[in-house]
Amino acid sequence: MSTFLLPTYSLWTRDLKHFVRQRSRVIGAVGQPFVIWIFLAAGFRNSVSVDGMEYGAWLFPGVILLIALFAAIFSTISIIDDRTTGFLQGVLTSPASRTSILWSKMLAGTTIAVVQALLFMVLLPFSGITPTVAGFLLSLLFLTGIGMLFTMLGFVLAWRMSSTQGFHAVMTLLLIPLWMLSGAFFPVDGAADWMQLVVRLNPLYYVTALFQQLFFMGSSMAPVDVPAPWISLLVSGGLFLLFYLYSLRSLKA
Amino acid sequence: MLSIHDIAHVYTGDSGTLTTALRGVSFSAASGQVTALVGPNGSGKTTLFRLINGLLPLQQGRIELHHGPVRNARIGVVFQSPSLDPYLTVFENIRHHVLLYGRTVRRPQLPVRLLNMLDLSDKLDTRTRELSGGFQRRVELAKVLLTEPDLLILDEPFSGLDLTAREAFFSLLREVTIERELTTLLITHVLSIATLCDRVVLLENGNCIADDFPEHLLEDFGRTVVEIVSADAARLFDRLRRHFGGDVLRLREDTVLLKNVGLGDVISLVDVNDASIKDMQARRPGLEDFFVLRTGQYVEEREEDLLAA
Repeated sequence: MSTFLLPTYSLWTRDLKHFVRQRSRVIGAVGQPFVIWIFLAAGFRNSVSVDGMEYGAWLFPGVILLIALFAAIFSTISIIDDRTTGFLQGVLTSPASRTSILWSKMLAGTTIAVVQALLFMVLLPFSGITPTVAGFLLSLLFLTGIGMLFTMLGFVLAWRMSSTQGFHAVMTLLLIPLWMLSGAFFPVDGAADWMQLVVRLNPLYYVTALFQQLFFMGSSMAPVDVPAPWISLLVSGGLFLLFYLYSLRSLKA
Repeated sequence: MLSIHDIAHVYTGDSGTLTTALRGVSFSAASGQVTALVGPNGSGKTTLFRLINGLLPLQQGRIELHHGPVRNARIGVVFQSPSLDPYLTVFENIRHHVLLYGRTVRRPQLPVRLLNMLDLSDKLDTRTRELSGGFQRRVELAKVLLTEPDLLILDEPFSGLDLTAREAFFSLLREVTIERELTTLLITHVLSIATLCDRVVLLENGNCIADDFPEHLLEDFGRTVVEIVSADAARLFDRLRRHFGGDVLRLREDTVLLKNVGLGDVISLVDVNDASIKDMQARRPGLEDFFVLRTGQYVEEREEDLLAA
């Protein structure tokens, strides 16, 4: 266990320190979702409503997912920096198991994602949403799983990349469209038929649907016409397992 | 003792082309001694370094430390560029590194003598990005030594250090090696430092072409050598070769070296008024001379490294 627990703790806490000590990164990460939600919620306030609720309220869980996506993905960019600066070599030549490297990244990305999401939730009173205690806790629990899933996705992408510029290009071309087509940005049933098909083929759609269901659980805002929770859970779990095993294989290669 | 037995390694390129990096290399490095591993670019030093610390899988041969597989040993690795986190303090870098080795360290547990030796006692709360290159090297060495390694491998640890810092760092390294009975392998192209090591292993084209004490390697050169820098070194070389035979070598493009001779033996053969002669001096032989003799290649202690330091 000395090659797993202590190294995992070491790399996890190191990543967190590394994050909070980069002031501009913290300000950007925390401020960006506030700005996005406030602008979109205020901008569409009187022109768009979904299932009888204001667009801002409907968008709220979607922005939390965006936070998780960005937080988890950006935390894995450090892999590229660590490789460039030589820090990663020091880790790879230590007795720390490769699994501990993976878990530390996963824990760090998830911690940052969940903390950022909690910070964003100070806007809840202004959103018009009053989640139930069970819904809040379950969505937080699922958010932890989403953080782990997104970090593994980030790991898969970052491990093979040699520059952070390349990573940003992938973010713009792949990850943001994935989020926009996940049902987090606009309701699927109102989209064009071909777009609905594209959304339903996007695995992130199932993650988003379950998160929205949990977040609005027990309230009149609960989304309709979404996949059954067990299907969403199966897709989310399957994706996590796929990315986790692929990352582990890459690390051990 | 580190024992390298018959190590061979072949890289397979993307197009399937095979490149042999090591061809049956064998040597040993004793505990309590600093062994230098030197060789020109492409000689196989880096491949061997990566094989020893486990970054590459073994294809052929054995690497043992104290008669057991090296993979079971605690290896301390100092890389060419410091593997420090610039946003963490010196102590945090040390602590996080020690945790990677499955151990914990508290501030009061830090060995005062080691910190004083490395001049880091009053820098524990300084972020490493605020330190000079020389001090970053010291932090690197401190964090590696605090994991109490059995084997210490350093890959070009003098990069970015000026001459004074290089010598100071080497003195520290030697002191620690002796005090802790460490097996220390120093991979370097700084031959002036390699000369100071207890033993020198020379690689060329994937082969080990020398493995001996530095003073033994230099026995063939006599007590003094004469180095002449000339704008017309080729002509000078031919002329001296006719007189001194195989004792005349081309050290660099513009430099001729004569071994086993004194300045008095040469002065009569060289026209000191010849404008092409830029410099002429008698000196003690060094590893660079041996290196050129054995490999036929010039080794530069890259001046740009020193300028960049």
